[in-house]
Amino acid sequence: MKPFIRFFSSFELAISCMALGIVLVFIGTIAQVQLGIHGATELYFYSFFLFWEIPGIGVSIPYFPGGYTIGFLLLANLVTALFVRFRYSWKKAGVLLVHFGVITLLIGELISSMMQVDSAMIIDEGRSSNYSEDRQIVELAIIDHSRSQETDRVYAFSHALLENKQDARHEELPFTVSVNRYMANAEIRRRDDTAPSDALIVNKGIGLNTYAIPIPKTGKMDDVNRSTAILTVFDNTNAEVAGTWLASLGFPQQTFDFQGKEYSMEIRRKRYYHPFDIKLLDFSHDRYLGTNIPMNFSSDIELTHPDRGEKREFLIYMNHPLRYDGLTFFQSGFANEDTTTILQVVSNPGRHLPYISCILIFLGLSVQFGIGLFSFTQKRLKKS
Amino acid sequence: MKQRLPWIISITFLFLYFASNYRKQSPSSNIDYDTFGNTPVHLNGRVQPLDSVARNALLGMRYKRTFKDENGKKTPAIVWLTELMMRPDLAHERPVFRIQDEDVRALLKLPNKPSNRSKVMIAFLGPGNDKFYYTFNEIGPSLKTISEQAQQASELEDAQRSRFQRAVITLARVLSNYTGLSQSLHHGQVASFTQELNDLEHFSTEGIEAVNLRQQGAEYDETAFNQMMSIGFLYQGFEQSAKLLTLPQKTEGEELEWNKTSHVLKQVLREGGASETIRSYAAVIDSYRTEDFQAFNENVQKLHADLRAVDPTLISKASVEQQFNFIEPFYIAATGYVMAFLAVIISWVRWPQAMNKAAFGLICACAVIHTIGIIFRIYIIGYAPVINLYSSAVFVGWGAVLLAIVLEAIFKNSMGNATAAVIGFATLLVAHHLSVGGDTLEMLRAVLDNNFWLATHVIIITLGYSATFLAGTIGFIFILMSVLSQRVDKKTARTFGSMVYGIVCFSTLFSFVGTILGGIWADQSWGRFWGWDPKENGALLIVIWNAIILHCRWGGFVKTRGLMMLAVFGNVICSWSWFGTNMLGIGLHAYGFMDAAFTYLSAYMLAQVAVIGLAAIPTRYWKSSFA
Repeated sequence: MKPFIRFFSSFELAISCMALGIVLVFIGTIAQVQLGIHGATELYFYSFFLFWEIPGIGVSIPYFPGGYTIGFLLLANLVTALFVRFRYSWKKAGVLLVHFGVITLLIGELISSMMQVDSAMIIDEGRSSNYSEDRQIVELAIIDHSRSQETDRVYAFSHALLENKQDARHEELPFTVSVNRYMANAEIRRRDDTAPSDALIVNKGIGLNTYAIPIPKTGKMDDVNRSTAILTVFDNTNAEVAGTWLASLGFPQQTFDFQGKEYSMEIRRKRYYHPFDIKLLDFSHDRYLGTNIPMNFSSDIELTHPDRGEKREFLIYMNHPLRYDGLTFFQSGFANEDTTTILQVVSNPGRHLPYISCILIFLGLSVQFGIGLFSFTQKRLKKS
Repeated sequence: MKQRLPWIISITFLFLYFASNYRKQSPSSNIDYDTFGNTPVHLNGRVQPLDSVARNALLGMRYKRTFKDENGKKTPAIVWLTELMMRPDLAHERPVFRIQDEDVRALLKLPNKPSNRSKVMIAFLGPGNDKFYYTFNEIGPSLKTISEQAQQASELEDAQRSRFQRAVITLARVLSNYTGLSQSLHHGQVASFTQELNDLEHFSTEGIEAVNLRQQGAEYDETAFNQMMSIGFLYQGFEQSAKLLTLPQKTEGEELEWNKTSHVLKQVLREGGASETIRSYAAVIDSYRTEDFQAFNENVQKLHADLRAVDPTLISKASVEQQFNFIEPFYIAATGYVMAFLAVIISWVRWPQAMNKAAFGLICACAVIHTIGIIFRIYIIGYAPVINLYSSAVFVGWGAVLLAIVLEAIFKNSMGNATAAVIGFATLLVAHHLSVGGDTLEMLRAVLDNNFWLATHVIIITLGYSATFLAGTIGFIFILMSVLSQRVDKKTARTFGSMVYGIVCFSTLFSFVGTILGGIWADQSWGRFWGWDPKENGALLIVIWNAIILHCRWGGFVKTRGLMMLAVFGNVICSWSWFGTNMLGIGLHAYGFMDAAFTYLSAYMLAQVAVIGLAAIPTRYWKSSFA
């Protein structure tokens, strides 16, 4: 056997990967206290390496393998071992099944980590919605109000554009928006003499009375990253500056006139539009009598899909989500004194794989340990 | 017969202990506390007997389910609760508040109390906890300070609170519980409740008329109006401060509706008279206050008849729970496990066969009692046995004891007995300390309300914990035995090795399948299989660790000694997953945040690491040699 293959199929590699995995999961879990579950997951589990920044120099060095590295090594180890190490016999059928199960599990988690999209749909009682909002990613929206009375035209620019401070332009727009500054999370303060000089370039809108200072990003479940940017609008033809705005997540739309037309801009959570509408008929929140312990949350909704001619009601409650169009809608929260529901919308193409692996692993372990137990009792019977 | 004698003696001993403990539950008194304690009320979202209310309330205040009367005699909680609800003036003189935090005592300017133990006892056992107990009247002057401090502290996140702040919050909660109970049956403003009801019924027409006339702007009787208003205010306060829902009532939909005692005002004003139930309650209270105990007992019987008339099952369901309280199955089982452990220790020194049989008999008897306790809990709450951290402790112990019994039945080498006794006792002790928070038969938060997954995922994963702890504890005892004694030879070492190997296999199966089932539950309800939530990660750690142990053994990297060391480290991982993750206080599974437990958890983990260190000593220094 070639040393390369011997290395990849070895017991030692399997055990090392699992040991590294234990350490990684442990430190990643501890880090969740500071970074929040989402923050720590991105940094520890959905990464190739953990980096440590040498203080003072600003250079980061990898000090520990991340979840992807360990996962891929383990996957490689399992697959090569299946080819070169395993002896295929009925006696080993259980072990084989288990390892196939683990491979499925790893692939399933890989798919989830890359493709799972979480968003939230927030609906007031009696209203309906056809989009859900990302909880992490924002977008810059430029809204053209001049098209018609009923509908506006929205130009959405991606989070990456803001982060990389690229210019936002579209052939239908007569102007360009350039990103002067971007803050992944910021604190908004009232503008006064203490405001830093770069805040003073803002000369239009809400930013006349406020300014933003950057603060570290949070990954905690209940905290919000207030993505904030300083944006300048200039004319595409003569590069004349129309003004500089401060836009921040949570600000209302800021309206401005350009060449006699009305536009507005805002930084908002990235929206995912769906080809169907969900209307909240009723939200209820029951507590156990005489306590504040929630007994049940439920959203009575009406789903309308015009293209499919579908219209039906559905009750979403704990442990009973709506599954539709590859999406799962589950009850995650509520607001406005129980008149607004917050539905978490998850799309995860890999969600079926764990079911397969559960069956494989259960069968495999039962068969394997069953064989072991059988031969053990046989031996003991022979002895006595 | 001679063979069975130790077995019979030990079980008889346990049974006698059980019987004497059961008898202690009924106070010797002219008052029929047993029947009164069986009265069903509604608290914490469920119907329970007053006996449970009393025990849980005292547990929250004194960390004990009993109290000491003026003669220093241990007395059942129901005696105290009856007094608190009907004669709070007397109850306020009883030292039932345990305030251990020095800063809180300083804040309340509470004096240090002398111990009431004798000098000899103090010399041997220390002054005890008596000096930490205070009466309501002693704390009373500082109620405002306490609520202000608690208000300040509750604005912080739990993890940021100091020990003092946590203590103040606990005290404020306990005090509100206490005053709420004292105002649950009567507001105490007049001496006779029956008289008050009569007056109320008599006066109601007049009062309502005065109010109506005034609303219409007509001439009205001002005295009657003012009296009506003051009654209104009195009952409004009564309604707000009462904690128990005492009055069941069938609605038109045949559902049971519960109200506080203050509901009687509405009854009188709307329906013209008080219900039978409230009349009986009033008679009970009055006869207690006038110390006419014969009448008290009769009135309690009448009250129960009235409650039965509302719903026939109320009293019988409450009495099941009262019996559960009286039997104290987990306490008895814990005591039995200690006895079994002593028997095992003796068996190592003398009469190995007889004492080991006695131990096995005891363990089996304890397992039965343990099981009975779990069945009671399932019946009372109507859910699969593991619903919170407390019940997981009870269940982990139960699973481990059953597995250990199987091991003992196969190998008959006393290791099964020893581990069953140790784990059974330790987990019940942990459960006891987890129960101090209050009612352990709490209602299920919406997210957990699913019997299918509670019965599959939770049970399977908890059995995985059981097995991991069992393997680790066998490893622990094995290492101590082989390093410190000469008891282990080649053959026993091999037997212990295969015991641990078998248990690790079982543990892998259960923790692996349990963890994946948890993921599937998460997918069913949240649309994601794995969310890297602390509790999920904890479960994953156990699975990986078991897999490491198996691969190390299959790969030939470890023999008996290494296997034992790995298994002991399994204890560290498992205890962290079980409790450590909850201490982080984050994630969807953070259902039982604890703070004081941190020290104990660390001590436990350190002990495991120390034993692993012991096993790392080269074998030539070990007393046993089996290599």
